[in-house]
Parts: sequence; structure tokens; C-alpha cells
Amino acid sequence: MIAATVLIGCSGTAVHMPDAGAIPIPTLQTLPSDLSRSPQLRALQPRDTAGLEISSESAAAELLPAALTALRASADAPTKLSRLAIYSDSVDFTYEQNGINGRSVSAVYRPGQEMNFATPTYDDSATFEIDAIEPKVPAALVEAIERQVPNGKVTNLDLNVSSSYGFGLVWNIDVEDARGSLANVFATLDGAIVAVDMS
Amino acid sequence: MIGRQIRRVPAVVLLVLLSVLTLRAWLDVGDEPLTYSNKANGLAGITWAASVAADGRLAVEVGYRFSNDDEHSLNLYVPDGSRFLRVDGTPISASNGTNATVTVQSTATVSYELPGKVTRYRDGALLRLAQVNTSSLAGDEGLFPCPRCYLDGIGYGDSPVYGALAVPAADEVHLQFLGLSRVRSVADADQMRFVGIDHGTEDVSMVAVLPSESVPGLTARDGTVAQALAAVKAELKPSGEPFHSPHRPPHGDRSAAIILTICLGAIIAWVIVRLLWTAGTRAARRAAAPLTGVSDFADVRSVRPTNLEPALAGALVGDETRGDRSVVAATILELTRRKVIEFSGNDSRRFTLSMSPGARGDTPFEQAVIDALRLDDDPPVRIERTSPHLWGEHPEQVTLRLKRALVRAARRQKLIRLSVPALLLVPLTIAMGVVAITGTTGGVKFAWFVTVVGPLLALAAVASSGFVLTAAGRTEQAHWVEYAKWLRTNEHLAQAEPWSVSTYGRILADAAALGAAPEVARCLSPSKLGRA
Repeated sequence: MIAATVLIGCSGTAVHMPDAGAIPIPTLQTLPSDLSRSPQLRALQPRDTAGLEISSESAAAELLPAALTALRASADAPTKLSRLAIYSDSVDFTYEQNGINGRSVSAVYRPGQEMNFATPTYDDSATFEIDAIEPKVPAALVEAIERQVPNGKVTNLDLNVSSSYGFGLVWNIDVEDARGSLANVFATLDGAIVAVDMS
Repeated sequence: MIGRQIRRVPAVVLLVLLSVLTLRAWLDVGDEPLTYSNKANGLAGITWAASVAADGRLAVEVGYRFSNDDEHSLNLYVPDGSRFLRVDGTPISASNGTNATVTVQSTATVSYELPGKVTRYRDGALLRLAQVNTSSLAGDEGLFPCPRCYLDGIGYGDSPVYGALAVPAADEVHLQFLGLSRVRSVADADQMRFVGIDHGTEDVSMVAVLPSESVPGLTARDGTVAQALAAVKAELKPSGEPFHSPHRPPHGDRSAAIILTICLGAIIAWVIVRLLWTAGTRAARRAAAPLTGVSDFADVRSVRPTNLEPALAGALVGDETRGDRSVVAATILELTRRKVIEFSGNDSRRFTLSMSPGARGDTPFEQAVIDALRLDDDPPVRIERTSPHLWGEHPEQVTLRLKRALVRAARRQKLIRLSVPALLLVPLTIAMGVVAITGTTGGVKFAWFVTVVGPLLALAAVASSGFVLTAAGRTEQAHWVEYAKWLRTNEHLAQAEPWSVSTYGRILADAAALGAAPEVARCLSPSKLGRA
């Protein structure tokens, strides 16, 4: 009994195995049908810009379907891109020419104009399949973000591996308001907003 | 020599050890014996939970429970690529999605999703939540980074970590931790739960091997999960952190405690029976003792109790008598009395023992003594041995051989029998230790100690109890002990020499066997101490 008392007395704070079900198991998020209801979008908070005018224009994400069609119809008919950027008046592509690794061509699509192709240069950036892009997603993202931040604009959507940080291949979306840069929003190709960086 | 009682001190120590072992097993049953004493100020505990999706994505939730209601600034670091970062259910902005500072109170729950941490192979999948930065672990790539470092108001000390990993076929999951020790785990059908101590409230990382079927959405890579695990371990080695696997079972088995109790009960019961037996022996001895109050009966014990040969009488008396004695010397004297052996000389330091080629003993032990004196001469010849070299160059071997012959003779006469419990005590003690090691979690070191020390104690307690006296043997012993007491009152016997047997006759043989003729015993015994 003395031994037992000593053993119990010296044992300290007891730690018990959690009962089954005692620890809630987290579940994965699902993609909302309306991207403006993306939960992570709540992390994007508008700033007070009263009395200030925003000078930037929204990125023309609605141009993407036509731009992709034009690119596919071009002489090179590329299948892999290393970069896709959507601005207010253009959609810029950088693609791997004829499947040659490192041989890179930049192309700019502007509505109502012929597509402009630059001279091939060396670029060994990581590439991704054009077919992985869902053409209508960027426009939905722009609409959702600008609904969350009525006094802000999405000025640029960039899709390339290096600006995707550790998220895999995601859209890196610049959001500005009248005070300047507001946030970067990261969204997967299917439109899931995975992170907001307002720093 | 035969029928010696269990030695009390080692027996008591052994019983105490085994009792504590059994008690700990019961304390262990159905509960976690995991304890810690150096509690980190400010932090009551950490909870980590995750579920693994078919495509290998993790949904992770890390909970901090504070031991006060103070506000704590939490510098949040989550693994690269973490998605949907939330604190207490509220999505938050984070630099690059992985770093933020929030103020929390009482509790804080950080949740996120994490793709790309599971790699599938044909024979298993590897979940890796561990990275090394040159020579130290990258805490933000693990389960959680050092809470003491990134949470304001948390002091030095240890913290308990409670966890759950939800994955199909969870009972096949093998967890290994860095920074989390003394881990216990238990698997349900779809969830592996664990608990451990984060010493120093530092970073905790984890590597887990999952069944391949748990992530069917991932493409299986070449190689094996064992190779991948070995590679990860090699990569993490510069951190210097050891891997800790969960103890199994997570808590003591009730069956282990029951087995230990039964074994302990059996040992205690055996000890009680032995004590009762001893009491019975004493009672028989008292019955055989003369009526000391009636002087007329005082010399009852001067009568030789039975016709038992002196060697067997000496063996039965065992430790119940004092003084140098030798059953071998007694046998030689008995043979001398019957003219089978002869002595010449009159100096006990140097005399000659001779024996004809046809010398034979009347009992197996007498024959064994004759054979021993022949020193394996074949064919038998007349022998002459001069003291002190009666037994050749290896008297210890002779002693051993004669000891065995004596035991055989005593068993044949049904004076002793094997003590099964005594023979079982050593393996039983080892078995109890092994059961405690495998069936309990608390006090495994103590169980190892008992497994090593217990058998030695058991051996010490019952070293001479492999044989016990039968009822007939105990009765004989009681009578011969009394006879030995009477013999020791005779000073002439104490000073007698071997050839005095021609004067004293058989009584000298009895005296040599019962410790009443030490001089004779010393002269004739093969044992250096003059005791057989």
C-alpha cells in the first residue's frame, strides 16, 4: 500500500486518451455555386475610402474565353502556358512554342485587334496545360470580389506557378481601392478562394 | 540440504515487487496512466485533429486551450500551401496565406486545409507533416510550431497534446512523432486517436504511414512506402530529434491485470501452503519430542528412531541441525562397521582407507559412495586411499555426483518429492514481467526491472526448495532432529576419529550424518568444509 501511495503520489498530472468523438474532426470545404459566398472571401475587408476616387479599372476577365479561342487558333496552337495575365484591356499569354522546353513566346490579346506575338525568347518557367483553365471562372471571381469590396477593383489576375506561392497553381488576384493595393486573393482554377493576403 | 524452507527475505521482497506490479496493472486498466509534472504556465493543452480525403487533402484543426482568461497574441504560422485559414471559424487574411497575428482568449482554434502532404505508393501512403531547415525542424511545417514561442504568455514547461487522425482503415495507420513523446494511441474503424506530452511545449511534427487504399484518388508512385519513410527519416536526421512511436496498447489490458492477479494469487497461496506445511512439520517435531517435564521419558530420544540409513537421515535433517556433518562420512563409517571398508593408521590427519575389489553396498547410496571411492577404476581392484586425498583430484565433482545419488535414494524411499510450485516460480515470475511489459503502459520500466530481478529473487527464495519432504519424510525428520540433539550432547562422539567406529558402532555413523561427530565428518567428507 505504501508503494502504491508513493507511485500515485509521484505521478503528476494525468493525461487521458480522448474519448471517441471527443475531438471534432474537421471537414473539407466545398465550392459554393455562387463564388461571392466563398467563405474565405470574408477575410477580405474593405477599407474606408470616403472622398477618394479609385483610378484603376477592373480587369477584363470576360475577355478570357475569346482570348483563349484566338490563341488556340494561332499558328503555334500552343497547349502549354507558363503565364496568363488578365488586365483591364488585354489578356497576356506566355506559352511554350511547339512543345520545345524553354522556347517561350509572349502573346497579347486585345479585343478588336489581331493577336500580337513577340519574338521567341528563352524561358524555362514551369508550364501548365491550357485545357486546365476554366475560361469563365476569372470573371466570376472578379464579380465576387468586387461585390465583397464595393469600393475596390480587381486590377489584375495572374496565373503562373511562381506567383502561386505554395498553393499549387492558383490565380493571384490583385485587388485595389482608392488608397492603393488592398489585397491579393488566391483562387484555384475552379474558383475556390483559398487565401486572402491583405498585408 | 533437502526440504529447506523458502528463504524469507527474498521471498518477501519478491512478493512486494510482484504485488506492486499487479497493482500498477490494475491502476492502468481502462485509463491512461500518462502523467506529466512540469506543466507549462498559461497553456492547459493542445488539440490537433485532421481528416484525410481520398485525394490526400487534409482538413486540419489545431486547438489551444489556455489555463487563464488572459488575452494572448498568437503569431500564426501554418504550413506552406495551407488553404482556407480560419481562427475560431472566422476566415482570416494571412501573409502568403501562412502567417498572421491574432488575439485570442481562453481558447483558440486554427483550421485550414492542406493538399500535397500525402504521397501514395502501391503498398501504402506516407503522410508527411515534418520538414527540416538545415539543422532544425521547421515547426510551421509540422502539426504546430512551438506554442511557447508564438503564443504570448506561455511559460516554460510541458504540455499535453491530444490528437485524432480520421482516415479509412485507421487501425492500420502507424504514427511517428518528433517533439511529442510518451505517445499513446488507439484506433477505431475510421479514426486514430493519440495523446502525448510536448516536452518544453515546442514544435511537434509527425510522419504517418497510411494504408494505400485510404487515398484512392492519388496516383501510386514507384517505390515502396518503407523506402519513402526511410528517405524522410534520413532527411530529418540533421534535426537531431528522435522519432517517438505510440506505446501499445494505449492503456493496460484488463486481461493482463487479471493474469497478473492470478499468478500473484497462486504464488501467495503457495507461500501460505508452505507456511502451513512448516507449521505441520513443527507440530510433528513437537509430537516426537520427549516429555521434558517427565524425567523418566527423557532418554526416549536416545533411541535410534528408525532403521533409516544414516545418509538419508542426515539428508532429511537438513538445516534443522547445526555443526559440521557429512552423509558421505556417515556412509563410509557404516560400511566400515560392516567390514566393507577398513582403516589403517591412528592419525586423523593421515590415515589409509582400503577396500576389496568385491566391496558392495547394501543401498544405492552406499554403492554410489563405493563407486566414488573407486575413482572409476575398471575392473574393480583393491583400493587404498590415503587422507587427505581420499577423493582424487576433483572432490567437488564427487560431491555433486553423490548429492544427486542421495536425492535419487531419498525419492526412491518416498521421503522427498519434487516441488512443482518451486520449480514454476522462476518462469512464473518471468511470465508476470512479460505480461506487465506487453499488457500495460504505465511502469513498463518497472516491469522490465521485475522481469530481470524477479527471477533472481525467486531463485534465491527457493534455491533449495526444488524438492520438499513428503509426509513420511517430515515425520522422519522430526524424529531424527530430536535424535541429533541427543547425539550432540555426547562429547566423545564429537572428538571421535574414523576408526572409532569399531568402538562406537552405528551410532558414530549417525553422529557423522547429524552433526554430532564433526571430526569424523571433516576427515572423510569430499567437501572442503566437511559438510555434505
